[in-house]
Amino acid sequence: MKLLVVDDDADLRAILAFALRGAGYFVVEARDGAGALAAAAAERPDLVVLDLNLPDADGLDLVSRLRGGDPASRPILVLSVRAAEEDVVRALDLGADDYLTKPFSPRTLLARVRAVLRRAGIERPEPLEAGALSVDLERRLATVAGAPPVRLTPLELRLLQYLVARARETVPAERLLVHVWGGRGEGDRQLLKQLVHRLRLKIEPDPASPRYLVTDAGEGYRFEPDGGQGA
Amino acid sequence: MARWSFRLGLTVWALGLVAAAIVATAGVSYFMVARLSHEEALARAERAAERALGARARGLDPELFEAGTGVEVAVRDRAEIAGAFDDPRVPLWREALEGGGAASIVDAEVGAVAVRALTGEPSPGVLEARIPAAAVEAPVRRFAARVLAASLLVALAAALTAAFAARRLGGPLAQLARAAERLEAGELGRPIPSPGGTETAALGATLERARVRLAEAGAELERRRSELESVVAGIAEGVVAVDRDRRVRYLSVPAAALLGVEPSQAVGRFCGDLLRPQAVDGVRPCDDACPILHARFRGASHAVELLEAAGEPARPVVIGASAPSGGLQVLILREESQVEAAQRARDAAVADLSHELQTPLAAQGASLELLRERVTESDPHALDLVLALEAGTARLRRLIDNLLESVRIESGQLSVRHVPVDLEEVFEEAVAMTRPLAGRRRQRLEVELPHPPPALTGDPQRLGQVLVNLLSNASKYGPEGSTVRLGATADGERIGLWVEDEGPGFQEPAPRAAARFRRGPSEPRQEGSGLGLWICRSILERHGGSLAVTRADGRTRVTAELPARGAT
Repeated sequence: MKLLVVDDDADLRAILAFALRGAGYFVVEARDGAGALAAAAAERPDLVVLDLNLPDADGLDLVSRLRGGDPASRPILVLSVRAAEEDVVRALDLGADDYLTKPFSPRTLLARVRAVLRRAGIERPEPLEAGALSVDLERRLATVAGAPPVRLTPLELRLLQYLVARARETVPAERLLVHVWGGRGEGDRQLLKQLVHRLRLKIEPDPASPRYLVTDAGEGYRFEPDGGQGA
Repeated sequence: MARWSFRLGLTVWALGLVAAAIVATAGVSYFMVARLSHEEALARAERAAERALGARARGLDPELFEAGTGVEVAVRDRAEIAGAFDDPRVPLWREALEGGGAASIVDAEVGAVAVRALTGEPSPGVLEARIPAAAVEAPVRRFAARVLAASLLVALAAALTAAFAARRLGGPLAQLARAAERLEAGELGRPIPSPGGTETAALGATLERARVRLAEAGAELERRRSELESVVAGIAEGVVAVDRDRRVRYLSVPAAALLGVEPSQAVGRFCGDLLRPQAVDGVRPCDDACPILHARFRGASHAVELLEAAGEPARPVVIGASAPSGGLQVLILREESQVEAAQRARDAAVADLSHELQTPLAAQGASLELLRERVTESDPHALDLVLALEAGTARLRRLIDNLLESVRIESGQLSVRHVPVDLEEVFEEAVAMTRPLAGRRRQRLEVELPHPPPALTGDPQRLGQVLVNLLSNASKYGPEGSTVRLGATADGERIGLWVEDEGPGFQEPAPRAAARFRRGPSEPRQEGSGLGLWICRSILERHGGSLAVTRADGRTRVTAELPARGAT
């Protein structure tokens, strides 16, 4: 999978490339509009991450030129500072597939890149599945044992993904804290409790006596894929 | 139909009335007098006839006997009666002679006649006593003459009385009519008399009071007008009033001087033709960014435009436009002061700088996140350092967001979207943004969001900004180690996003607390720019919402109140 990253800021370009390479993508970089068009023609990337504010070209103009005559292929993910919100709407109109505002979280960027690639049919969707739980990652919809799907917030999804990856294993609260917010204070512990509570409201048949999202008192939390029956 | 004056009408009416009375009285009197006079004459003639008969019986000549009494006595024998034809008395004679008795008539031609039949020889005939017509009619004529004279006198008296009365009544009315005409013509200087009787005097007094009040009101109006004139003339800024079509209706002297036009030539012209704002990308601001239209639909507005009035090079002019009142909108114009120009330049520089800062800040934030995931498992001290860096980055980001937003608000460029808001995500993001700040002060954040959260329409990013600002304020003012709570409540069509802390609260009502660059009493100098609440208020206003502060049980709750369906 080949990605083209276009940004005039070298540091940001390096970080974007680092994060995307870490996720297994092959990354080509360009620092301006001319370079972007040249790289797009020479390298034929599967997706372009495009900063709208470039020194030599109008970002919106570049969106339509990168799209070329083939709107079905080569999705574009626009990266923009917040002031250019109106530009972003126009970029979407011109054929961009998604946008992210700066500053951004690399993890969010990866999620969006995957979503765009899946929508374009380039990468196959990988729903998160574990026992009775099934999660549509792109739309953040969780289904438990055939119940109607519920929408999760990004942090709820992050927590659930982390626990599902370590199913039937007690994960210490501290590790969850650092993973979800990057905090270790007493207040953060409280926030984690609230987050778990809200997640239980969404996925547990009876949130008062949880079956999937279990508390191991004094240690941490544990995910049971089969609602405790298989344990 | 011709109108008669009151005086003439009254006179004619009185005269007519008197004349009718006279005619009626005179007619009745004349008829009765004539009848009495005839009866009297007839009785006299009868008596004379009886006396003459008696005298004849005594052998006296009846004619001589009655001589000098004014009664003519005559004896007519049969032959004479038989031979007479054309005398009107003939039937009378015959009646007496043949009826064997007496007969009498009163006739206008012959007078009063009494006839007696004579007996014996020779040649019996009749005796006639007659009072001539002239003698019968004389008293009647005298009476008629007197009545006529008296009538004339009465008519004269009546005419004089009517004229006098008409003068007494009509004069004051005519006077009042003239006074009222003066009132109508606006001559308020001369007092109005109270002439004539009580009614006209009362009318006059009422008119006089009306005149005095009109005169006072007029004077007051004139005084206010000249006051207003001098106030407007004394305003150093130019004052321009425009109508619904944005045509100039009034222009103060300083406004004329600022625009380099004569006030008389400016009135009636289209505002944009007079002010000549510089076109942006070939489009006149009048068409898409007119402060007058903005003020008309969204309340008082404020803009800085480059005006090319009077053919001079474009100058920046500050334009304040009021909401319409009485079909007019008032514009206040003044040249941008040096301070304002500097402020505008500063805001532009701040905006540029903030934009410049965003890219390296994004790089820093992204690097830190990647770094954090690498040090998690290994070195807790390194992790603490990364977390401290992340907290600092979050603070910088909040600061830059606020600065940019404040510049946008100041220059009137803040536009909000109206889309469904996922309050769970907004709260989550706001908490994630403020968590490091609260963590440093050992404060706990408690979210009380109903499940499912209330539905809301608005700008998610900006509402998130409101929450972040309210949360960082609460964290700043709340004591160390305390709890900061936040949540949402739905009450019909209103939704409240609230943040509660255990701090001392505001020392003044919310609107003042929300002024730009204002700090709370105990706010440490190094924390924040004082922009937070001001920005919250501006964002909420554009959502049709407001900020409310309540205190209870030692807790201060700041609520952002919003219409559920968003501003319309």
